[in-house]
Amino acid sequence: MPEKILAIKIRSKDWKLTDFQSDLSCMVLAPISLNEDYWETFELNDEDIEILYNHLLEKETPLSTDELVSILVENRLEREQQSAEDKKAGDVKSYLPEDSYTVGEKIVFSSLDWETGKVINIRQGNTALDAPFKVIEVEFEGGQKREFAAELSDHKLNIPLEIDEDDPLLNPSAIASVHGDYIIDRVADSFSQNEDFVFIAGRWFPRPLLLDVSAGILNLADAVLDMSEGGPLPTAELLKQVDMPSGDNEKLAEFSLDLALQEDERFDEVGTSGEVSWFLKRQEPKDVLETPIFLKYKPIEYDNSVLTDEMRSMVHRLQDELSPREDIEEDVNKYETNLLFPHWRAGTLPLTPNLSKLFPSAYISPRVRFILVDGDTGEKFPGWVVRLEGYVYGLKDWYTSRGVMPGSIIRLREGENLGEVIVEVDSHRSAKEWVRTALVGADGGVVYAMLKQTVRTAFDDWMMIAIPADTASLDEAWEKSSANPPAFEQVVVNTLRELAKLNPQGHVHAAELYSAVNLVFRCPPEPLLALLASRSWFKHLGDLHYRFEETEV
Amino acid sequence: MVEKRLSLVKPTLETPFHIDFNWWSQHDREWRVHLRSLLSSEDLERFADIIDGDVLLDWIDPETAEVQQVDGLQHVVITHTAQGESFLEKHTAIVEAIFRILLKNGNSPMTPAELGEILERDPKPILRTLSGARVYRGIRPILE
Repeated sequence: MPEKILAIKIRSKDWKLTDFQSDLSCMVLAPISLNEDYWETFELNDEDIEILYNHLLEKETPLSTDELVSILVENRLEREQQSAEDKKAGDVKSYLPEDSYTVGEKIVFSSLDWETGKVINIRQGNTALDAPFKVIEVEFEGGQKREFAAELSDHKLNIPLEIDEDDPLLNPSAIASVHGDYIIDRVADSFSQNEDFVFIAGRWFPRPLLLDVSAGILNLADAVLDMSEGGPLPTAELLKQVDMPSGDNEKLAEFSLDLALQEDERFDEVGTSGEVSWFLKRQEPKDVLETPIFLKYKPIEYDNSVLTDEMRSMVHRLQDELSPREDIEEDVNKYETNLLFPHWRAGTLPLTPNLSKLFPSAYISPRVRFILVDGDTGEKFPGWVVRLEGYVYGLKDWYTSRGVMPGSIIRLREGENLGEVIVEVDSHRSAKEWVRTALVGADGGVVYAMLKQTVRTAFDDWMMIAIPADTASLDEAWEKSSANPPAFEQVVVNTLRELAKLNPQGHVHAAELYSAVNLVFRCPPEPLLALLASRSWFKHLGDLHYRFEETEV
Repeated sequence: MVEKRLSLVKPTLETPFHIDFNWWSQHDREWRVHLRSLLSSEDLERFADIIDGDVLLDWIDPETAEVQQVDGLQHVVITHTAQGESFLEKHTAIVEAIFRILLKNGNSPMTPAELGEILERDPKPILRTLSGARVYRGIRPILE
């Protein structure tokens, strides 16, 4: 008679066991289900770390956090499964045909409704064909005696119990899909606090296995990069040129060199995700290593609740990199930005959440070097993604050559080659237009006039500002305000007053004001709009047009 | 457990069947002849010591690893002959096909539904055949 098979289902948070019988045709099955918040509250324990460490030691190959998470999840599931079995079996050993037993030993049989019996006899199996095995005679409670195979390697009961793959908490793919990011963060947090692991270019490795990299090798790497105008050079290329002995495991040598370069301040890892490339830090552009003065922002406090829907809509349209990050829009199919003076002057682009999808990124490197391509001419030039500070550097010469002005609309798209980004502007008929023009006094004071200017690019009407060719006075004013920042509200009032002179009604649009304020003071739109919404002297005339009421001051 | 009388219970498509060698050996004098006919002449010679005497061998249940002492011939057929590649070649008689599938499967119990799936046939005629008055080749239901 076939034995009914017991399965364990752990349903509730306190791991209450509920038995149910499964159909025999399902073979021996002991599915488990975990607490609903098991993976949401997952934390690595010492055993997890030891298992992953041993895995890395065994493989001698650096692994990404994703790969480690996959190993970790599978291992955790196996251990939970075993733990569920152990709980069912108590202190009694579970019967496995492959194990050896001694007379007097107690065993629990998962395939027999977790019945417990005692070994009372052991004999050699009598077989003509099978590999040799032992037969244990087991006496069950109630006196029933039955025989079972022992020291038998080939039997399905030796295979770990199966996992119910329909349960999203037990299916490794489903776990990775739903909880992957959280578990990756937990692993990264835990490993980064553990000196036994080193991390570079998205991969972890046990420190004790690393090869020694001498100071001489690092000096040679410095020289090689110096001869390549700073770089970038991939590690494999550097390894070849510095003639470092790699032994049998070239990957290990590369990883060891990567780590040594990473820990030496002369070198900067500038490769995109998954690629390791090295650059000499001293040869990187100054504005990559240090945020240009025009882009520095000291956060201004404001009351977010006063922003109207119309204002929020404008904030969304302006896409300032300093605005609090919104969810990335999934269906964006065009990437463009209305250039603001600070970016125009610094030769940069804002790294907004949407634009950041287009630019190469990196796991850790704060700076990533990539290639920009002129959409019209195909000319290629280096660009830098400065990830943490939120800008892309390297466009100053291109802005000049294409006649880009603050307010110009810059369009971007993916390049044909991985890591390349195409940058372009829609050409405007090269005719003179009446354009809001900034006139800068020797003291750095700015006034505006509508003057005829040559315009070569498509532009945003509200944000367009023609800037004098000589920006020395403006630059000096930025230097001064950097050391001694003016009151934000005063800047807004002064700018609104000046812009109001450009039309007979004295109306100024909020986007126009935002663009002009940023000519002298870096700020995102929210503090400006909150100010407009909360002061009685900024009179709203509708459609985000404002007038300054001198009598209200 | 007291075995229920088969006449009082009715197997279904989900009732497991197996070859009840005990029953077969007690009810059919020719059972050994039939089993021997499954072996090739080479195997008859090779396993002569086992299949001709009263040798009992340990048979391991594929599901539970429980050991039962079985007739040497029965053991050779299940563990060797039935595992040959050509053992399940097309057989026109449905009973012979079922008998061979059960042997190939280590005599693990199988339902008419499972047998029908393997044979790519409607399981109802299989159930009718196996649950009729006549027991073919010792194939009997396992009833609780």
